[in-house]
Amino acid sequence: MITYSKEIIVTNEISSIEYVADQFTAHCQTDSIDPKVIIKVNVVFDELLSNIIKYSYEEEGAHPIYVDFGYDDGRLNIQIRDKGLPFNPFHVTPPDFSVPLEERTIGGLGIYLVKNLMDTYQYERINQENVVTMSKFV
Amino acid sequence: MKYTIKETDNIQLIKILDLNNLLVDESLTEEVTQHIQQGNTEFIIDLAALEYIVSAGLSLLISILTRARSAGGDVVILNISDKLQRIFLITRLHSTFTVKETLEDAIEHFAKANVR
Repeated sequence: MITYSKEIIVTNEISSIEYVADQFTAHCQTDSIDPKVIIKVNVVFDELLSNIIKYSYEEEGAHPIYVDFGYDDGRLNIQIRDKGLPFNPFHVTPPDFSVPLEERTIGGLGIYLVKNLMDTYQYERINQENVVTMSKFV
Repeated sequence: MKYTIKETDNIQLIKILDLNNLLVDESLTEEVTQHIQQGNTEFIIDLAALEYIVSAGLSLLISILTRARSAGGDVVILNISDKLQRIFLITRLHSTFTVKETLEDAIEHFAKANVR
């Protein structure tokens, strides 16, 4: 059972990305986490929260996004949940790097980054929520 | 998003200071498009101020590169930190962009290209 020491609830607006990054950075600094790791995880937050903000909710208005994180026994644990449309980000087709740049589709680059920057990642649909759980060894 | 653009040796030098609000801010893309329409197709993009870059930022760089190359120009990336270098390697963009360490090298790249 993974436990998280910090839970944040934000809404689906762009300013939430910076807020989560600030909260995460401040929390990690108290645990003396390597700044390089903090930057990588903040890239991951930016990618995944951007996707949720842009695509997850069909209905206009403020909708919640739940962000949990914590440091435990040498690993950073992160969970992001939203109540939007079912969507497994890890099933997104990765970019085709063999195609010339001019013909390459941009989509999938962000999730490709997430997969490369985190050590573990998984998606579940639980109680009508998209639940993304990730960890990074530090 | 914050940036500056100034011209040096007929090359547009773009210093990107931050990439905040890229989801809604298309000002740099619009400004680059205007330059290309005016025949200014060579760009140096200085990333020294960036601690990290997300896919939206990479997409912006790709967009500028493809627009410039389509118009017969090019883009040189300048001052890429080790952290950004890793992102470029992961996304295999290191082989797509011309990356230089100094402004002089970047300007020389265009000078050589224009001689050929």
